[in-house]
Amino acid sequence: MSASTTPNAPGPPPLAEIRGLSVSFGRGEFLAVKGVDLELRHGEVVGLVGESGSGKSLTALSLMGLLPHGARQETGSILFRGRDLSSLSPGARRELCGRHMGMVFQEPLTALNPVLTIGDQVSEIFRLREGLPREQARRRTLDLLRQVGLPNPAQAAQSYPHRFSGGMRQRVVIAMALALDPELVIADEPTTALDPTIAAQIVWLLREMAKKRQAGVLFITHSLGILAGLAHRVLVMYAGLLVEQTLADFSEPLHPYTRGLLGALPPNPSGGRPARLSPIPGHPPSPSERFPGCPFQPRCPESVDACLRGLPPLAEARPGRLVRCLRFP
Amino acid sequence: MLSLVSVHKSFQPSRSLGLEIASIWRRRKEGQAGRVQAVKGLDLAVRDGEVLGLVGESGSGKSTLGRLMCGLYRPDQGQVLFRERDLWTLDKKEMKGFRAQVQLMFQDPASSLNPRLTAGQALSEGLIVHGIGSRASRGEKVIRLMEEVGLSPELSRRYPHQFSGGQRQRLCLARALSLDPALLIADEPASALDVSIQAQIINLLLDLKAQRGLTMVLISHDLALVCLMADRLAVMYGGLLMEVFPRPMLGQVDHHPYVKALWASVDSTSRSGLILDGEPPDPQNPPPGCPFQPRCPEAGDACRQKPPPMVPAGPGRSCACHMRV
Repeated sequence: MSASTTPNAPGPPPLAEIRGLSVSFGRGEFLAVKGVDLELRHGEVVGLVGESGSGKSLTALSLMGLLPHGARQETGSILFRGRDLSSLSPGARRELCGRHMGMVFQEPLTALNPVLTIGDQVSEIFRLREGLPREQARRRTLDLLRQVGLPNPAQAAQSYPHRFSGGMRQRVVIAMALALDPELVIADEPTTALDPTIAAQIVWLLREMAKKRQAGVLFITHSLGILAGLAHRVLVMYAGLLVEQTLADFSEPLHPYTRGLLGALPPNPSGGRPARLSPIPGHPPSPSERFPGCPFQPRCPESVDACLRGLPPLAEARPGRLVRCLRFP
Repeated sequence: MLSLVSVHKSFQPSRSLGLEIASIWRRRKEGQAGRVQAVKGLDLAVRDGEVLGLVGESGSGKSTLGRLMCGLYRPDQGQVLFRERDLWTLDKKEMKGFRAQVQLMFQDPASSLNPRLTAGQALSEGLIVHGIGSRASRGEKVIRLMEEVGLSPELSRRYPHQFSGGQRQRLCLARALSLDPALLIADEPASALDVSIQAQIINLLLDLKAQRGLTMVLISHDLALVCLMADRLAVMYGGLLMEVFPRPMLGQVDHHPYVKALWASVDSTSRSGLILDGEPPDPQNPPPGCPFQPRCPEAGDACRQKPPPMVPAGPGRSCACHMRV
């Protein structure tokens, strides 16, 4: 899959669309997500990048209707296949999300039930959502476990999650997310808990499965290198705001924050060795902090007085590339 | 400065109640004691003034090795030599002196600081235990240490929970340096931190290494990070060393197949092909022969027979691979 921008030609409505989403914590005083717009099409892989507290996970959870206790959607609408999810009853929304969206969580051990066998957990999906009888559900389960590359599906189905390594558990979680051939897959830091050689396997698996099913994938991560060759485009979040939409290989980052993040990474060892890294000074803001202008201004090496005077809009800087920075009209 | 001579270390796996029951059942079925061999007869020396990078996946034994080096674990077999003396033959007083010389910095700054001690107390505790200085001079030392790691001395009355993650890691570093150690062992010093903060801690380590002439062992799963700091790399897999080589050799020689795969997972220019099949070995049930053999694209018959010995392979490099002897 090569990196390319989204086709801008008018066509069918996007698979999923988030418009002006804001999510608050507490009694509305902390905005953790501030007016995020996001579009996802069939067969498209979109990367969502940010540090902890940037609001990337809350954005994804809102899409699934799974906001944690204490978090509330303040404004905005979420459309899935052209339907506004807030217009649906909780039951109808659950049915729609459960059947057509799949979620891969960061920590596979907490996403699996420790007292049920893998087989029971996976086949439950087929029995509840498709009403399949036990034996048929079991066959579908074994088939699915084989597809995600578990070496001995029959034995795996009878095992409990603690018997599995992290990579194997994540394969099971992916199997559950893909069980009903969802049109939208949300992967929230699926490789963070895994070793590098295993992470490479999991990314490859997700990419192949999504391609085969023409599913749209929202891939959330804080590790930038993983998205090259995987995503079609990448959205960067900072302090609850989208600050940039850029290329998946980060070949030409525009926003000072994106450039700062890339500069802070240890360079590819095949090149020369710099004497030091170039970190971004300061630390990411907490959701309770308020900014008169651009939230990155206090850490930005290129800030000017005008940065304090209001939030710049997310504007098109190059074809298909959006930046929220005064320097890019 | 410090060397390990064919050290072995095994553990009775710790477990929650549920796992305990599961493993009793398994043991009954399989009839084995289920001790985990974390480090299986390994030789490695840390040279004066160098940064040795210790790379491996989780469960490879790299953290165990770090703890063996600083005397937190006692090896089942083999010796840990510090300046030519076996650590575990030292008397109590000499051991105390050793502990001041070799300090460990842990991965998770939140859980390795005592929540009931202020920053200042945490930094002076080591000095008190080792009877260094007077109350006043310890206070000065605390201020110097905090400044050295980029913390404002005004924060010395604060408790760990009042610091951010990056600040806590700075505090851990200051504590490790409080006794002016000769050797600092940093176990994943940046992996619990956000990307933009990681770079701050790494720069701090680089500066301190230059200023203090520290000898360092940097333990990490991140090859790119280790390459940035280390003079030599030691790559572990399944409790054994696979390859030890000077950093400039990376990518220049015919590496161990596991090092090749690790390298491919970092180097985007070579990303195209190499994705390893399979999983790291189950420590309770290791494969016969070379631990990497079940995943190795080059494995042959010899690999399944016995573990490969470490053999010299060029200046400063040694490699454990049956297919490369």
